[in-house]
Order: sequence, then structure tokens, then C-alpha cells
Amino acid sequence: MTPPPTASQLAPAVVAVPLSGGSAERASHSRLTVVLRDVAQLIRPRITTMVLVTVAASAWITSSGSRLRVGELLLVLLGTALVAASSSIVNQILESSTDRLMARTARRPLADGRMSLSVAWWLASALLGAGLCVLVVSSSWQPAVLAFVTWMLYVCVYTPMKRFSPLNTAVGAIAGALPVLIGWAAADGPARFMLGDSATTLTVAALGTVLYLWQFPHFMAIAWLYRREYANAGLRMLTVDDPSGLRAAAQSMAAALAMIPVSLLLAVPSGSIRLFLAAAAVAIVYAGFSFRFAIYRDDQSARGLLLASIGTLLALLTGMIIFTPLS
Amino acid sequence: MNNHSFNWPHIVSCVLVASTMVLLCFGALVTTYEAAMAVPDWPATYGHNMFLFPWAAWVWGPWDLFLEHGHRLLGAFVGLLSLVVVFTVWKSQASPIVKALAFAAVVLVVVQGMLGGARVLLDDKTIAKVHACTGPLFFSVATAIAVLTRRKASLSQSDSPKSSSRRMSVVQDRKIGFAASGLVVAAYVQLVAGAQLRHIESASIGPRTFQWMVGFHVVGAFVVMGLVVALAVLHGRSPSVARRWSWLLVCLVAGQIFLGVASWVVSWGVPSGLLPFSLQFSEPIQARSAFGAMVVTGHVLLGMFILGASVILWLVGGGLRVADLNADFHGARQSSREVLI
Repeated sequence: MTPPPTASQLAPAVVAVPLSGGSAERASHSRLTVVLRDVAQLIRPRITTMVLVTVAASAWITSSGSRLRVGELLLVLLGTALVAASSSIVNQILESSTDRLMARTARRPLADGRMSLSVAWWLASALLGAGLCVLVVSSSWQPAVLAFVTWMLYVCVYTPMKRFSPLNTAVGAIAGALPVLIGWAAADGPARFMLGDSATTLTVAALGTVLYLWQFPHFMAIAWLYRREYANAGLRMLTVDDPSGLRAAAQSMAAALAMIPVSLLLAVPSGSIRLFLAAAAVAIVYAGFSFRFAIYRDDQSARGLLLASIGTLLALLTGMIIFTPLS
Repeated sequence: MNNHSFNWPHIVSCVLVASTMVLLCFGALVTTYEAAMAVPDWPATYGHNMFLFPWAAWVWGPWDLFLEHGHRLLGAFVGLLSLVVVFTVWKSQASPIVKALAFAAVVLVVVQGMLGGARVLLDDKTIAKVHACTGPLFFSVATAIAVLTRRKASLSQSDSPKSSSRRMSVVQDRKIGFAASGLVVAAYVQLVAGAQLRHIESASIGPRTFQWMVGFHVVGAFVVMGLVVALAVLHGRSPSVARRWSWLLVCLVAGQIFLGVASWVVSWGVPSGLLPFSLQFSEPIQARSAFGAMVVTGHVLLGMFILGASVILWLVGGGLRVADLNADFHGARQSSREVLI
């Protein structure tokens, strides 16, 4: 079977024209821009940023803002960012053949053939090694181990699982929630727990559970919007297995409902009524959008749910940081 | 499904709803009498296995021990019953939506049990508030399962949403959908606000915040009333189940507003001026007499029943596509998959 042509093969071959002088300078400049853009596409900065926000929020809650050493936290964030970037690259290496079949991902550097797989492997290995070293040096072995477990789960379990089981979201969501533990470990969470700080530990556990549950409606909305592409690429998303969307809607609803009480727990250490009410409002709105998706199961309601999911997470994390008083 | 066989998912989920009502009664009384710390350990009861605690000591012992231990036993029973519901629903040909709700009920009841334990072990009022907000959520999910597991035939009668929607215009249908969804949300938000007022601590709240919370709760009551009246009007005079539920809700909400005023009076006396600014916060809300306890507890319970009735009205009024919930899911899935690929 002939593989489908890559996007670069289909594009006009303007790059092959020989250049000289100022044109060559502009060409090298644009080549650098292309390389940087490719690297940015590889490391998926938006996902990495979300991971970092989660780690920071978790560290903030664990330390109640007071004993947080900013320099140390920045290094932990750097190490986490490097590991997250590495996992994104390996994910794209493993999925380059399926990425090629989807319009949304066909222009990615590996799927498009703009970058070789060996370069990507080297880059991913270097980032993983550097990230783990930074975590060990800046904090302790605990955040490094947790980061590595997250990497393994994402790369070795979730990514291949997309090809043969719609349960991949349930597994991938664990990898999405584990950064909470990285922040907790980096801010001396285990030691605080051993000293009897149960309320903070409970809240961090609640934050991790919120993040786990939050991902179901979020990814079900994405799986619905791109269901045809996933089907073409042979990926077993729930909306491919059940195109009526009932199962995806059902999982979204169940997770959004379970998220309501768990989000309220975020107010436990501060005892803040404002945070309690804000968390309740945000979680109820999210459940509302999930129910709307369950009722209509169309692109519009899925898009609404996707936007609501981003707003929900940002509102919860921001509210948690704002309303948690410094001790 | 054979019409002459027992509809076990529906039967068990109805038992679950009834048991949850009793459990909620006990829970509300525990808060009213501030009996949560009557048993200071968890999951054991004074060192005994919860289920092996001497029944005589429980039944004839102090009132607050009776309430708290009874609440725990009922909670365990409801938890087990939720597992039975999941099992029966899973074995039936129910839609994934119903299965997911059954699964959500189990998750919620487990979370609720752990919250109850954490509330005792940490003696934390915020956890008590979360516990108070999770109970009604579980109750509404159980109610939804009970409604959605009715037989196909009963959902396709003349009062089903599908056939009633033929009589109504699309615009009116949409209005009903909005109002019914809004009612469920408003009824639940009222319970969240009420939980704040029930578990309030004088040391951690300023008078201005207290007044705002009371004001919010009062305004919320009238929003709920407006929505149920609107739904009763929108459902018109048709002999539908939805119409009957909407009028029942009008009566329940009217009674709830009356009980709300009575709860305030038995706790703080008659307000001297315009609400909520005439309210001076002094002590946490607590019933001072048996009558006061009945009034305050009744207010909480009626709020939960209003939420349950709102969920029923939302479902029988067309909140979910009932056709989707009862259709041959596996057949529909196969055909739509062929279309997709």
C-alpha cells in the first residue's frame, strides 16, 4: 500500500530554489523560524503551560503560600516543562503515521516529514534527561520519580492505547492529574502529611481528583469534534466506537457530577466561603454544559463544553490561589 | 424487555430513593442537633465495628448518638444499595446515560461516606458543608435513575415528552427546557447556600457577609418560585405528568418559603425591619426547641425534595431525549458507525 503524500510533498517546492546574498540571509532566517515553529509544535506549549499551572497551584496550596521558595519552584517548573515537552515529542513520534491521516495534525513536523524521527528521539531523550536532573537537583528525588511515572504512563500506556481501546481517556487522565503530585512533593507535601497536615493533603488529593474528572468532558468534547478524523486514522476514541455520542456524553455527565463535591473540597484548608461558593458555581456550570452536550450531542454543544472546560479549570485554579490566604 | 417481568433496575432505584430520603432526614437532624461529633471515631463507632455496635446502646442511648450512628448505618445501607442499582442497571439494556448515572451514584455515595468520615476525624466545618452539598446531589442522581429506568411503555404514553412536544410549539418547548434546567440548577444552588447558613461559624464570618448570604438565599427562593410558576403556566392545562409535577412543585415551593420564614423566626426571632439588612448575626443557626428543630429540619428536607421533584419535572418534561434513552442502543450504534466510516 502506498503511503499518503505528506503535506510538504504537496506544497510547492519553493525552498529548493537556489538563493544568494540577502536572499540567502532571509532564507536562513526563515529556516530558523521554521525550525523554532517546528520545535514549538513538537513540545505543545499550551499543554505544557497547563501542566505548569497545575504544578504551581498544587505547590502553592501545599505550602499555603508561605514557605514557598520561589527560586526552587521556578526550577521545579523548568524541570517539569522539560519532561512534559519530552513526552509530547515521543507522543508525536509514536503517532506520526496516524497524525498524517488527520487534517488537524498532518502539518506537525514529524507527520509532515520536516523533521526526522532520529532527531526527534535525540531531542526527547535530552529533554527527559535534563528535566529529571533539574528536578532532582532543585528539589528531591520524589518530584523526579513522579515526573518519570507521568512520562511513562503518557508515552508507554496512553499513546499506544489510543489504537486499541476507548478506555485510553481514563488512563490518559491519570497522567494529566499526576502533575498535582509533582507540585505537592516539591513543596514538602509528604513531610507535611507525616507531620499531620491532613487538611492540606486532602485538598491536594481533591485537586488531583478534580483534574482527573475534569478531563473527561474536556476530551469527550474534543473526541466528538474530531470524530471523523479519529475514525479515518483508526484511533479508538469513544466517539468512534459509538458515533451516537451517548457513551461520550454519559462519561462526561458522570465525571462532571462527581466533580461538584470534589471541587468544593478545595475550600477546606482556607475555610473560605467565597472559594466554596466560587467552586460550587464553576462546577455547576461545567455540569450544566456537560448535560447540554448529553442532550444535543452536536458540534455546537461540544464546542461550548470545550470552552467551558478551559474556563472551569482556569477559574478553579485562579480562585484557589486567590482565596487561599497566606499563612 | 418483557412487560410481565419485574423491572429490577426501576424497583431497586425506587428503594434507593426512599432509603436516601430517610438518610437525608437523619443527616438533617444530625446538623440541627449538632450531633456530628457524638461518635468521635470513624469508621468504627466507639471502637466497635460500625455494624456490630450494640444495638441497645444505640437505640436506648443518647439522642445524638442515635442520630449519628443511625446516619452512618443508613449511609452504609444506601451505599450497598447503590451497588445493587449499578449491577441491575448494567445487566439491563439501559442506555449508557443511565449506566453512567448509576456509576456516578456509586462514586458520589463513596465520596459522601469519605466526606462524612473526614468531617468527624478532622472536625472541620467546611467538610461538613461539602457533605451537606453532596447529599442532595446524590439524591437527585438516584431520582433521575428511578425515572429513567421506567418501562419503555410508560415513557411512550400520551404524556411522554415526545408526544406532548407535538402539541407544543418549538419555542414553547425551548422555554420549558430552559426553565426546567434553570429550576434544577436554582434548586441545587439554594441548597448550597442553605448549607452555608446551616454550618456557619460566628468566628469566621462578618455581619456584612452574613447579610449577603441571607439576601442571596431569599432572592434565590423567589427565583425558584418564579421558575416553578412559569413551568406550571407553560405546561398549560394538558393532562400531562409534567403539568401535575409542576403544580406540585408550586405547592412545595410555597410551603418551603413559609418554612424558611418560620426557620428564621424560631432561630432568631421576628426581624425588626427590611430583610436582609435588619438581620443581626449573633449565633450559628440552631433549633432551640423540639418544635424549632422540626421546623428547621423540615426546611432542609423540603429543599431536597424540591430538588428531587425538579429533576423529575426536568426529565418528564423532555430534559433528555427519552427516545435515545430507550432505543436499541447497540443497533443504533452500529448503524451510525457505518455512516461515520
